[in-house]
Amino acid sequence: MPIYERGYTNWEPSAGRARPAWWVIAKRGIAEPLKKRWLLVLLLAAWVPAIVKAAMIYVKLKAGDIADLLGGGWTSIDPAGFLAFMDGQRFFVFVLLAIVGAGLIASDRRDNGLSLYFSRPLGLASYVGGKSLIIMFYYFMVTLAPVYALCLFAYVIAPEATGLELLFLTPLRATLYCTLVGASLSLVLLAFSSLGKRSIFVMVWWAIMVMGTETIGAIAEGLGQDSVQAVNFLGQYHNAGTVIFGAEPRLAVNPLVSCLILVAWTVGAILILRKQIRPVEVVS
Amino acid sequence: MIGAGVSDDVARISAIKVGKWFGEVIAVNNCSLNVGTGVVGLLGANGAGKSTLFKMLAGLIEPSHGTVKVFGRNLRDEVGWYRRMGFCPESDALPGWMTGREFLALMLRLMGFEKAEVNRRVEYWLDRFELSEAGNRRMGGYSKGMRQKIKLAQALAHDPEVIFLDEPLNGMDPVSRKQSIELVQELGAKGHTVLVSSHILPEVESMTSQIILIDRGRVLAEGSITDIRDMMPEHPTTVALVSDDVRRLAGFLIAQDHVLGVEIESESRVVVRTEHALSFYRALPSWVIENDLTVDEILTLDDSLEAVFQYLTER
Repeated sequence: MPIYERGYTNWEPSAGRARPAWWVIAKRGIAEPLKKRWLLVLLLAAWVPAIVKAAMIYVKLKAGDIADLLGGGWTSIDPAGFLAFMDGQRFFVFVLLAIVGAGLIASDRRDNGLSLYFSRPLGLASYVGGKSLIIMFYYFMVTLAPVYALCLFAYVIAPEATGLELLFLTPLRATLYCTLVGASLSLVLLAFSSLGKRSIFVMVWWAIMVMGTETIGAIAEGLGQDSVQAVNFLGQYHNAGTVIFGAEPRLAVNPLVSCLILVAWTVGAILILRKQIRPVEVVS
Repeated sequence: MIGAGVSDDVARISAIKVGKWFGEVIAVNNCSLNVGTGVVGLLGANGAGKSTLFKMLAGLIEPSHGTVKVFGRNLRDEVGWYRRMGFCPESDALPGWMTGREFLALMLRLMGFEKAEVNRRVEYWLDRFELSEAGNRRMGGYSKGMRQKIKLAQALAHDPEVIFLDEPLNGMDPVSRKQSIELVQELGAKGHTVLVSSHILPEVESMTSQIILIDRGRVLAEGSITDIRDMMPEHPTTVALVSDDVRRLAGFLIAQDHVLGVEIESESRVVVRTEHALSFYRALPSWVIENDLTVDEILTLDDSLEAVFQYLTER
């Protein structure tokens, strides 16, 4: 007898441990892009700079300052060198986050899927938190994970030369920095995603936000208009990060001002998300 | 007590003077209602405010004024109670890039079920709606009917006590439609609260006799179709009686209290207009026996849902 003729079946829920809704959303969102082979290639490509830096660290630790002459500060194994490394990853951060994050809310809005999500035991914080974790995971994959690997590598090849700074403090600084930056970046990107229903438009806005502001900042720097560098979106993160890593500011903007700018961006993103993400369908 | 119009203490869904404005448009205006167990149809023409009222009841739209409670609670304040509620939206709310199986699994995981039980329920509901084979295909390639079934499955798969179904049969083929109607009736009989919205009257009539009728954002009537019909004295019920002696039958009936008028339609059929259908039906057998009348058939001409709907909305 086909099952549809058997009548309605009522099951008592099992006693297993249930995952929180934000975890379910994050896990699903992280796994989906990994099915695409070209995205895996992009992730691997994002590790090439780390491999190059690893080689330079090896040379530096084994052959003194010759590597510094070859690679400048980027080869440095002091904290500032790792901040410079993460700043150098911004192209991959920009591309990967655009691919992974642009459609996260836009597609739910396009599919009218918000009413389905919010008819579950799920609040706005869980929904946004789950989506943020997806973006943060991919951000970590191209920034924090290589830093961890490089610190470990340096410690393994020359424990006496690197010490506790490289084994504990630098990973700690990187963790704090990446968590703050990842959370802020993900909220800003999600806010963009919540404003549209098509990923492509979100990507365009994201490109303007990242590349456009960087170009304006660079032009302003060339013209000696230092205060205009405050518009450089990704640059502010690096500039603010110098507080954590004890490095020289990258922009001619006070790092604390950069922190305030980023707080403003993040708060603005949260306000947009609160306004845009409602389980209500459009009623004209 | 079953269905719409129940008292506050047994109501699973209750709304008190709820209203919703979208800009200057009033979608729902001052609606109050109580719904207990069983199947209740929320009826109204397109644009009557059904979907807005539906979403307010399901805690998916915040009312501009008034309060809505499900299980005596505000769902948005206590989202854990959504585990006891199922919602099937009218809109095509499915991500086309996901397979049916993945989508159902995600919806169940969000309800808090563990993996083994998720798999068990997904397979049951795909099978129940004859989507087992299509379950591995992306939903973007599904027909309207298949998408409707998946939406229905996600609303029911966690076995909720209160179920909101917004136009659930849209696009379904006749066989699926019949199966879904039977499923809804079965859920109602087992003590679930099923609120079904539709603008297709026979569809609702086939599922339940308990209705909430909404028009231009207002609740016009709430209760069983017969009760509502009886409360419309300005529209007397019309009953046709088939008899082999219509003249004697008509002569008797015209003298009775509840009868407002009698018309001999043909040699074998008389049409009676009565202001109290229930009293008329109760008295008719004794009239027939005591006065040696003959009535071969009784046909109620206008206590259908369609007639009630037309009278109330004056369409």
